[in-house]
Amino acid sequence: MADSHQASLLHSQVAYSATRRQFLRDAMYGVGGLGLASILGDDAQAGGLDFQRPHFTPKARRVIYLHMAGSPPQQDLFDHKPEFRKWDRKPCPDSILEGERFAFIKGHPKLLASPHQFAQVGPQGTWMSSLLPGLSQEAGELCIVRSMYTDQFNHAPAQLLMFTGSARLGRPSMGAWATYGLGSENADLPGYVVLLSGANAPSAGKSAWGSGFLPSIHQGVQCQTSGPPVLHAADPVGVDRMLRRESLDALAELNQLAHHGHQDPETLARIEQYELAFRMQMAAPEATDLAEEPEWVREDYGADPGADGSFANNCLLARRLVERGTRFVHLFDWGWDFHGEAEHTDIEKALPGKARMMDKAVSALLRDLRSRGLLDDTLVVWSGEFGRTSMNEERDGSKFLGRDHHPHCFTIWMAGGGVKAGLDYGATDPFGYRVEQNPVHVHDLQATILHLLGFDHEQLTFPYQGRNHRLTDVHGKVVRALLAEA
Amino acid sequence: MVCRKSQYADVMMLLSMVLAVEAPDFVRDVQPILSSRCFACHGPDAAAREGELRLDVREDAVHSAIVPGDAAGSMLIDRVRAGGAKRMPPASHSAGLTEQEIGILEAWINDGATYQPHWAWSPLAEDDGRSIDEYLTEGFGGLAPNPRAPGGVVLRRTWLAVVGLPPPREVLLSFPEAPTDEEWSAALDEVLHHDGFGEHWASMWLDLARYADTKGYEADRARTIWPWREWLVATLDEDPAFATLTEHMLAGDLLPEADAETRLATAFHRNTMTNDEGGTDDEEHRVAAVVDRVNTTMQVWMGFTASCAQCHDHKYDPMTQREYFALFDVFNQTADADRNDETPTIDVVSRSDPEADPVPVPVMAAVAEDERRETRVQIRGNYRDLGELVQAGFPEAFHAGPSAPSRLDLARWLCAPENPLTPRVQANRIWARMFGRGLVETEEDFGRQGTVPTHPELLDALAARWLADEGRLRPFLKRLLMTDAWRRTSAATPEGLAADPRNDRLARFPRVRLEPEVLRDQALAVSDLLVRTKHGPPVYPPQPDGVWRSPYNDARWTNSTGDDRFRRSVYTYWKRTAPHPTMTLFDAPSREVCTSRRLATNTPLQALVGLNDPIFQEAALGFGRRIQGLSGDERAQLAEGFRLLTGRAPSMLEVQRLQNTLDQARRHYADRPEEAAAFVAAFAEARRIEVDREMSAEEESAWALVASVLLNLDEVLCRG
Repeated sequence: MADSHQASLLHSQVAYSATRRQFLRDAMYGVGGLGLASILGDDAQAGGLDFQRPHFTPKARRVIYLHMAGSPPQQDLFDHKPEFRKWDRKPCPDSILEGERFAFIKGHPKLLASPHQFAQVGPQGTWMSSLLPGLSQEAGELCIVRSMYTDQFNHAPAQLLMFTGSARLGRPSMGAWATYGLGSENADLPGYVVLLSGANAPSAGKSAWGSGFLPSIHQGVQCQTSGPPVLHAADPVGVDRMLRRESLDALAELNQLAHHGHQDPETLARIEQYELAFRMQMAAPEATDLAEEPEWVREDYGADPGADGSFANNCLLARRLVERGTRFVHLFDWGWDFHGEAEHTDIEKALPGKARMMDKAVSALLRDLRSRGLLDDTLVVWSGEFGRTSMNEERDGSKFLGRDHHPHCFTIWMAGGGVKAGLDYGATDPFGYRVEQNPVHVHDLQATILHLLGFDHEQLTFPYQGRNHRLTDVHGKVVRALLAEA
Repeated sequence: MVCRKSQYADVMMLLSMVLAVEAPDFVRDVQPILSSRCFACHGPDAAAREGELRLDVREDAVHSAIVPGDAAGSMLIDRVRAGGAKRMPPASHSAGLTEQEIGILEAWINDGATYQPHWAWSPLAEDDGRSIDEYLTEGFGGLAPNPRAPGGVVLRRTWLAVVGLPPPREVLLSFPEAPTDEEWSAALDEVLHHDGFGEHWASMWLDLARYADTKGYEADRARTIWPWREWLVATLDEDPAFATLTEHMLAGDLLPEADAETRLATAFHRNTMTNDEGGTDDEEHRVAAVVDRVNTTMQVWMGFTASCAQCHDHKYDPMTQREYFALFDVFNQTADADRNDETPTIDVVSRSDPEADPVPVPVMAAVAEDERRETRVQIRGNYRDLGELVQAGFPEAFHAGPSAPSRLDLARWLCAPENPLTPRVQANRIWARMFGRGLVETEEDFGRQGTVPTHPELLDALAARWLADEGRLRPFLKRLLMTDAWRRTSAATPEGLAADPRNDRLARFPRVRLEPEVLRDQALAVSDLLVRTKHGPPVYPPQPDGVWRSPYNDARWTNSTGDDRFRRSVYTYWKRTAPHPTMTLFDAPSREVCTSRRLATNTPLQALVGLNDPIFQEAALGFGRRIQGLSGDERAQLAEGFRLLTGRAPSMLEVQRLQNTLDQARRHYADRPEEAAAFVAAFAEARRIEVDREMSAEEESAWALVASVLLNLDEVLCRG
């Protein structure tokens, strides 16, 4: 190719605009965006995008999932059992123990009634622990499910089941399915963001927000809890924005020259991804800068911009991200594994502090979303990965109070995003040991969340290894009773 | 990209098939419809079968649903055309068939409804000796294949694909633009025998073997199994016959001539995860490991999705649940049992240091004859819900093997001459690593739900030639590398893109994004930073703070300094729950389970790695310094830098653009010497080469910026 011809290309944007349309399709593939899909219409399909569309109008346009990694004791927060108090510290009836297997409990355990007070709150008069004063105020907003159950009683497999639909590794997470289905609404930010707090990552690790066999562009982007929120978002020391802009201009022009020769559409997509990266370098620090929030807002959450990655900071961060169009914000707060093997996992001594910290931040988040008009189409989900036993664990004769892992029942709640506000759903038996009414399996919760996002969980699929896979595996049914409009 | 598929093109292809082909081909046209729409309830799975109708076997199908020669009189057509509750497949299962699909079924029934055995399980077709290019060009139609690419470009793509490193400067610069076949053959012999060969091909095997330096699950504690990685690299360098490789990995402990090396080879199947968490049932996780071994073996060797038959009869392919557990029984007789100490182990001395203390490495060992485990069908895959007793054996649909087989019998069965699957799967896998996509795109699934080969005859010819090469990599690779297809330009035209958007016919060379290992090694190599020390324990190249988290243990990631910071990527410590982010951001799997192919993505996070990751910044600094030290004037230096990375000489305009960046960076740093000083100072820790005192910080920073641009060129991130 003659250099003079290249020169004319270099100095005009003709080639660039001619491929702009194709370019947009690639960009859309990257950042999603319903707007683009509807502009391009069927052309987007013809262009080879595996772009999904909602099967019906979504009630929730975005999700904030608050995961209490380790699993909080439902008996001490939401599942009030007044009749159970007379069994406190009494040997557990044999009928309960038959065929049971525990992570740590050995021998014949004693039952443990909650040492905490409960009160009826909200218009529906739901029972809630005194450890949750903020959520008690917000009870009218909550859709509480006390009849959740799972198949898994160890953290990693239970978290995998909760977020990928399978206790085994390798499947896409809920957030990946959501962005696979809906893309992102902000061209400058990732569609699926993961925020961690507490001393450790959740047990299931990155698989809990992985993309499995979906294209890895859908994997959760894990914001850093210390340093820059997006990996390598900061320019190197001694390279300022001007120089970075110059390198991107050089890259774009050289890549366009090369593209003129080989015509590979991926090259144009790459130019666009480098540009998105450049924008993200600007947008991500801004979106994640809590110092921009008024002091009273930060105080309401209990957030402290100086402290690395606290749960309260992450709640506030989540609001800033969904406000800017991030589709799925996934919070994992480590440290809810209250076995009572030591003082820091004691139900009486350690749980109140942890619960109040969570309660303050989460209730502030609900208020904040509501006041900004975001709650109507933002689904907030709060859960652990399983429940905890009604028995005192007493590991190795520990004098501290604690509960072991328990798959048969636990409590979750949702708010906003098309769920029925002020609802109490499902019930456990008087021991709080098994579901007695309206059982909801983890797959049912997933089907319901996808429904709120506008998808039939049986139709949102991806072909891999010989069959169409979906979040709910081959299970799950939408729990219509939880929907504001059934 | 592999994951994108033009639905439009598919529809057009389907239409053209319906219009142009009189009788649909069962395997290519009919079976995919029956399999995806009908077999779930009318296929091999007896338990799920509805209405006692089976459509995967002709005798059953013609008994009630199909009248050969009479589509209109066939219940099958009646039901797929029906509305309401009568329609098949039912609305609860999937959408109805399209007109095109029904048309194909009608034409097929009218033509006699002949069934053919699934292509992948049929014997290999006779190799008629045509060249690979002849097989490929047959399908070209009016499409003219691209001309030869310049010698340097082909040399670069070859080095990157065969050893995962760019060609050395003197090799590249002395290479002719239009080599003769003899010259090309000689160049290939050099690259094929380069001592980085085994390290490169190890990456593919490490994905298949789900190799990691940790045990997986929650705690994901450290595991010492890198001596097996050493064995793998050394063995791939030796390039043994595939049957030998197979016997050693699956049953090296059972060979009559078993020795320390063949026992070490069996650590292949000790890469399964183990769970140390309190309260876990060791038996549950021992069973999970055995299940993983069955699934991995069948996927790696046979391209068979055995995992589908763990909980029920396979819904698409011929494997009953009972047959699954017959294979399970083969692997159920080893002594490992999810123990914290990983016994049984053998003591191994590192190949990198004969003086080092031996380390215990988990290996396979058979249980004593009187301790053989009883295997029962696990109902719905639940290890505590046991059904009938089963004995070791092979699935009936495949070739026969000895009764009550051992692991060694299994290894031999997989490589038996009458097994067409293993050679097809391996030949296809190597083709895919070279050309970016397999002739069968679903490398992991050669069953009915997998994709059909784009070139069935070529696939069989390749399988036959792979067998003739005894499954050795080097001779087989040379066959691929000598083709015209390998040596073409990658340039596409609008006509070419329209005629063959997915480039199935390879009239142009397919551009492939480099794997993260190759990307990093390339950057280290061109910047003279790469340390070629082979073998040894894993190393810790820099990664950002906060990625590495380790619940329940104190393991820490401490960035390697000195030589270990710049070793080839195959030596990077691999933690399953937190692999190095540069690897995962460029689509490496977590290695929790066997992975046959990586899907290449194109994301903004990758751009941030290329521009800002210290690994690539250090490479930019080193590469900038290297270019600046080349002979000739500045333009000549920039042009050679470009050529070292891309294999081709840049145009004047490309050089001018780089020169502009260099000039601008120079001016920038001249005004801000403190920024240049800060830039250079940041690399003090990483520096291996003594600072060139002649070079000012401003010059060094400016050259590093240009080098960073070069390292991020799309042409450099890809091979094309």
